[in-house]
Amino acid sequence: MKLRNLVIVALVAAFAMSFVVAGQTTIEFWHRFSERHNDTLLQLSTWFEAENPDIQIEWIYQGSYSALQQSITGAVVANEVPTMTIFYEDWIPPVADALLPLGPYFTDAEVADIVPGLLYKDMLTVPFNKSIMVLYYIEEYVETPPTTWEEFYNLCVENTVDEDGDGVFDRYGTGIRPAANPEQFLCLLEQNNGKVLSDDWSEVLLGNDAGLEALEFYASLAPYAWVTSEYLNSNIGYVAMAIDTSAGYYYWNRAAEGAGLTVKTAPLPVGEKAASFIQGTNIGIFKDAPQDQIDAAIKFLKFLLQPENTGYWAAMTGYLPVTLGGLDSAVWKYTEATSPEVIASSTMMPLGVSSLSHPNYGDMRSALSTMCEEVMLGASSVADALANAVAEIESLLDY
Amino acid sequence: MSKLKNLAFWKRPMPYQWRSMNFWKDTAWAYIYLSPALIILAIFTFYPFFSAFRLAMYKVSFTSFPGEYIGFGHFRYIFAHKYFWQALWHTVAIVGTSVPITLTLALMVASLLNKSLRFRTFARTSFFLSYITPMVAVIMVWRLMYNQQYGLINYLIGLFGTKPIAWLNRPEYAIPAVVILNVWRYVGYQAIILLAGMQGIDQMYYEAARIDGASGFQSWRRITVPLLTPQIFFLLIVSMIGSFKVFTEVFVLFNGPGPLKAAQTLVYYIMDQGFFGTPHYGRAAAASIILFGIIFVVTLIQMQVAKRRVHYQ
Repeated sequence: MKLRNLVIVALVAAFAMSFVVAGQTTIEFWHRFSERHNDTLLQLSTWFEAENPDIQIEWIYQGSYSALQQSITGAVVANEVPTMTIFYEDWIPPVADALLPLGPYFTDAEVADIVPGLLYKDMLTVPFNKSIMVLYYIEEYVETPPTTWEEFYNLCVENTVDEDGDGVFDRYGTGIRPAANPEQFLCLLEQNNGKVLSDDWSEVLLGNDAGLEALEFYASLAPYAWVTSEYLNSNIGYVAMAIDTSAGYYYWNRAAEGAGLTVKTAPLPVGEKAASFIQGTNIGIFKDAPQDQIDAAIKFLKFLLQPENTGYWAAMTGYLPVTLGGLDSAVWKYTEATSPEVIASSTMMPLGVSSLSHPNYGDMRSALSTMCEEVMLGASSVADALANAVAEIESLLDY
Repeated sequence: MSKLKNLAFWKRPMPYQWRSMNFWKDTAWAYIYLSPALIILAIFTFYPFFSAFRLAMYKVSFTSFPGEYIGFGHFRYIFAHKYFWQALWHTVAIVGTSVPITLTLALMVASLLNKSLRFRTFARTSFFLSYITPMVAVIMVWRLMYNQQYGLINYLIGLFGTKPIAWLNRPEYAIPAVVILNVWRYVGYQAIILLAGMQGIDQMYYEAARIDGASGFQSWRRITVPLLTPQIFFLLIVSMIGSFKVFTEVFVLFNGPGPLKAAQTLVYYIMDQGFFGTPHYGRAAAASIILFGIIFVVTLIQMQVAKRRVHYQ
């Protein structure tokens, strides 16, 4: 009798549980965050699920960024897409038709709270993990970080030294990665009020006076720069300062500590205006996902953009808050107080711009890299390199 | 028999075995056992291979796959693209230098390893280690060795008074850096193949040569090398095909195509078109077909040359 009752209770419980599970919406979220970033993701989803017990987030790690991109491509072609995933800007155009425009789901106030440089045409995605270009400098070589282009140039000259007189420089003023990081040049372009394309993408503006001046300044650094494809912190102490992504601070600091040096960050030197370049990924939702998953995904997106949550994500990962409210959140203010190296990033974030979401931006970036390399390695004059880049980018305007 | 060989295959009489039921039963069982492998090959080799020909005709769209039909548009673009010709030239340079250098060094190493040396087994193992070590790990170590400031190679050449060379940061050193790495990696493998071939040569040829008064070098040149031509031919084909497909060395060494794309090979060009930057899958497929065509023609030429030059015992 007792056993029979137990069996009946178990069956009823299982039956009841099936309704609970069936009533729960599961969001499939593809990502590429591993180790310490993954723990932070799990914490955020735990908090969200506590507030929304009818929604479950299923995190699916896809490996490297290139593996994730290929997974997204395959999923779109096979029409077996997840609910949401992260994207770099230039991944978006080939799959734009498969994404849900998010503008109608956000209020004007919510949109206005997003850092201005992170908003895209049609709002197909919202920003998530972002970093910004800042100035790294070795305190032992640079007492006061430069605040203008002129000061930056002068410090580069001063810090390019041959200490042992063997005809080989032992230290350079700065480090430039023209092929891997044309964003260093794009920061200068933006600071000089220059642009690559017009706002409607119909014209290439790179070749105008602002672009020429920015490239001339960039080229003037060549004799005082370690031009390389290596990561600039791979040979710490070889450069006195460098423009690099804020997300690399962990590696810069670790390298500096190992060499007995002190690395600090500062806002980028100012040209005509203060500006910097923001990099990182966004989150998009696929429109072919079931409606209940889309609704749940929208809720989760808004949760991630809440000031304390974007601030928490940034504080734990080394990225930056993607909303103005996040930059003012208590958790981020605490992070600024305890980790002063992030102050430079916070200062620059509202002034940052992102890469274009033009469908051929990947090829345009390649043209910019080639231009930067030709100038840095002395293979072309500034005018010729600029003209070549403009011609190539003009051929990429149509898509 | 020679009369039959000269007949076109559709004019030849049916082979005797085909008339036997057992022959067909054995054939069926053979294909049943082969079918798992054939299915995997069909899915992961043959289907992608033939799909590439189809994709090369389309401007591929992910949301409306395969996209817009453009015929030979991608081929026209590639043949007019300066970076394709640059990549082709770089590839030819790598093939033209690393293949003969590797083979020559391998022949010398095999000849030495064929002698009665002390610790010969250790020497043979050491040379082969470069081939069996995982490639990416090897290349990352070479990347450190090529470092301009603290790399081992600049240290060693510095002992002879040479200034440090920017192996990975100057375009003029990009191809040599790849070639040196390639030669180092494959010398051991080729030496082992040649060594196996040397040990299969009948000693009576050497005894006869010794009786006739031939020197060691004359024996090597007139007996060893000609009788090694089957192995040399095999290595020539395999190493040329491999050198035409160089990619990992470039990608890991330079973290890109090299300074001013100085190390961009054809395979890197294909990957660049398809996966790095704006994805142009149709263009990448077209470029891969062109590469296939080049390797196919080169291999056909090699086989024609081999008919006259390869001596089988």
